[in-house]
Amino acid sequence: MNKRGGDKLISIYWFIILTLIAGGVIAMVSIFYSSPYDVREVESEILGMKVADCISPAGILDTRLISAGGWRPEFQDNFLSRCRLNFDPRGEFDFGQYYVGIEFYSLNNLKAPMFELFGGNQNWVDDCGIEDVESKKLVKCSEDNFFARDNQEGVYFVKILSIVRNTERNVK
Amino acid sequence: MLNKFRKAQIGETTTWLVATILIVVILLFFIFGSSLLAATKDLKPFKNALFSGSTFGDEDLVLKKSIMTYYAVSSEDIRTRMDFELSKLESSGEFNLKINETKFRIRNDLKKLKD
Repeated sequence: MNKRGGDKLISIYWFIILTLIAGGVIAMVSIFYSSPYDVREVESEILGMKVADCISPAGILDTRLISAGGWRPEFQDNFLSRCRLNFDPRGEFDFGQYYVGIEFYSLNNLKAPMFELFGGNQNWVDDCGIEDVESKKLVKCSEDNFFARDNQEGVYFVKILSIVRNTERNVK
Repeated sequence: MLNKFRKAQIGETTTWLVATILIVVILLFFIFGSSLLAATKDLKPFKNALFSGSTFGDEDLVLKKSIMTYYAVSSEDIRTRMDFELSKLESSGEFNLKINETKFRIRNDLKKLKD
């Protein structure tokens, strides 16, 4: 009788241990997989490359952007859709997580841009370059610089600043 | 006799108790370890593969755009200025490829296209 009682107690004990270990394994797996990869840096670089390819395929600036040496400001109106980018906010409290700014410089003056394009949330621009403990929760910025020419002999220096915030999805 | 049984029971219970504590401690240690491992998740080791030619069709598209422009321009003055700016960008670590090697490769490709 006593032995049977002891066996029952041991079975309960094993069941508890089994549950404990299973719980531990579940906790380990969920802790590891719930921590996201921070893809923002790569995302911002890809964004910059995509924009570079959009405004200057094969090194020649889009004729809808510049033609006969004259900039066409109307390119700004549909800039994002022309480059097949969608920066629309995802929810009610989302104010846009992306920004792209392009500056075109003349070779004679690399300090003041002669034409600019931008799309997305401009508030993130000031967060670029901030380096502190909490900086990983701020935006990720990347800059692409290259030369492009128009359909004549004009050469321009192009600076693309691409910013990705998306902190909630990338940093735990 | 009863005392002997009690002693044996106490010994056995202590064994199980210690074993349980040990299991819990080991589990907690592994849970802590997995949280440390999770914190080291990083895309940097995969960055080269992500930006490789096989993914993007070409390596360092931005530098190649500049060099294509360089060869499309006939003015020597503009080329000299571009050279100066490109080498400045290269020294700041802007490019993944070396300018001179890329120039050489693109020049050869352009020659082949012309021929």
